[in-house]
Amino acid sequence: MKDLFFFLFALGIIALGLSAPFVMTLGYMWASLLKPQVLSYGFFKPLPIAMIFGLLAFTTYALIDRRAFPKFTAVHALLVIWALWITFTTLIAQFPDPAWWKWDWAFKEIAFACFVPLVIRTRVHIEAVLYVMTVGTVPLVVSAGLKAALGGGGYGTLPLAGQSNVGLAESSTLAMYATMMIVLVVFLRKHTLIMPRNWIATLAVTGYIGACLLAAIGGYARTGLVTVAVMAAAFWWYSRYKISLAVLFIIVATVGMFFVTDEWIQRMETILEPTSDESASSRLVIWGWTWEYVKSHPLGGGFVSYIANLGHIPGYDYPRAFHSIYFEVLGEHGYVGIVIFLAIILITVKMNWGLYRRNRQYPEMAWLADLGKALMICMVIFMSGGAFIGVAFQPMLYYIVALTISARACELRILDTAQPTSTSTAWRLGSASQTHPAMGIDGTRVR
Amino acid sequence: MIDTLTVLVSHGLLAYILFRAVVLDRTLPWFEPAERNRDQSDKNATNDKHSTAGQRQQPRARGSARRFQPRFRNNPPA
Repeated sequence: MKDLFFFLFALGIIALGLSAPFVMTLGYMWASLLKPQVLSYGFFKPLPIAMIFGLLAFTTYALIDRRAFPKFTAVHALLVIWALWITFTTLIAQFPDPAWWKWDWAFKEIAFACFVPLVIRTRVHIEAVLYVMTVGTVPLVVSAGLKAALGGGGYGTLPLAGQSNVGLAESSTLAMYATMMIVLVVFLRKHTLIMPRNWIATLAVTGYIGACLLAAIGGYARTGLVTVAVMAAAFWWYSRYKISLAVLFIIVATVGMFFVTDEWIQRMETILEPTSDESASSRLVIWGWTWEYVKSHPLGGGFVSYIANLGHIPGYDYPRAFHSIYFEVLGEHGYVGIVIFLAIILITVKMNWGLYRRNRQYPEMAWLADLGKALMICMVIFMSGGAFIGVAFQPMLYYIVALTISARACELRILDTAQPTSTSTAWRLGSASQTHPAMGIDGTRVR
Repeated sequence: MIDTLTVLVSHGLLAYILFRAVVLDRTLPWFEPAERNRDQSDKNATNDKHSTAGQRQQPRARGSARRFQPRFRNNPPA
């Protein structure tokens, strides 16, 4: 039944995508984030649905939608360099077979992130992507929150996506992703064009945020607490109602403490004393090992090079993963890799900060300012939560990077269509007298 | 049960969202012109503490705009 439902849904996306090619890209993102195959058990399971959507997205773009190229940014260039560098390190990988397995899906995510800004060009497109990221992953995020609320919480015990433990179905990864989705859904609630803004939407968004919080906290992942704290701090910092928000947070935290178990509290206390917990202390050992490893392998050991730590971690008779995006990239792709990776992240944060700073005082551009702020907070959450989980090649990072490029390109196109009314904006708009090739003088789309 | 329910509800909603996105993509102008220096009366454009929405735009203190003016405009040659 679920297989048939997913199959019909995918067919519906393809049908819509034939008339509006950007929907094919949304289909790929849906398949990549949700991984519907792991939620199904019949004929849908072996279908390479992401590959199908990816090929259709490229084909429909090339045949019927190739126009209005975005400005080539530094992040775009870095993504291309990043894709080439991980290919090079895979060629010299210490463990070639598993390295090529990981390269296969990591390369696709980066390549697709390079492609997304070509297709996602307008406010509606960007909003649709955000909806795919939030609503499309409800079967993972909200079901985890509901199960935690019904008493199914616990580290590694939430039955997510058939216990597949891949992608977002891993407790810590889901906790971080759920926190990021709160930020995006708050943005959508305020600026959506696609959905109505009425009391039903308010109720749905409130329920979604509650489920996300439960998913982040109820999974007993320490990453969840860290990311929720970072998100709360960011909301507080950017709010003009600081006292009210602080009081609200204190009330929520106080009420929440009545519902958490002693086991949860004990687990969270290990954040401050990592040596008291085996899992936390082993991470410190692994990070120390990685630091020494990269001294002898300055170009990195290639994907999955953590296998080399077999026998080096006391108490473990199997290799332990890096458990940190920074050490994952450092160990796998060396000093050059970590520089490229950090440059992508930091330039993305800077671009989002720029979007926010340039547009915040203009009411008609408030959506773009708030989008920049939301994406920037998401990146900060990713940087803080990712310090404890190895998700450097998960699609969520690259979709945020791609959305940042799309948003920046959208801003430039809006400025290109603006008519300067005084010299005070003429210098600012730069090429304001020119209209974009895809646009008419009145800002309407030229077909 | 929860999994099935969330799949049905969320994908029904997502189908509606995608359909609406396609409709809006065809009806709304892609990039509406921004009139940045109009009298901004919408004070609730953003609830951000840094926002100056609603305040009348003041001439910029920085000299960037003047940088492109001919040097002799304010100091004509003798």
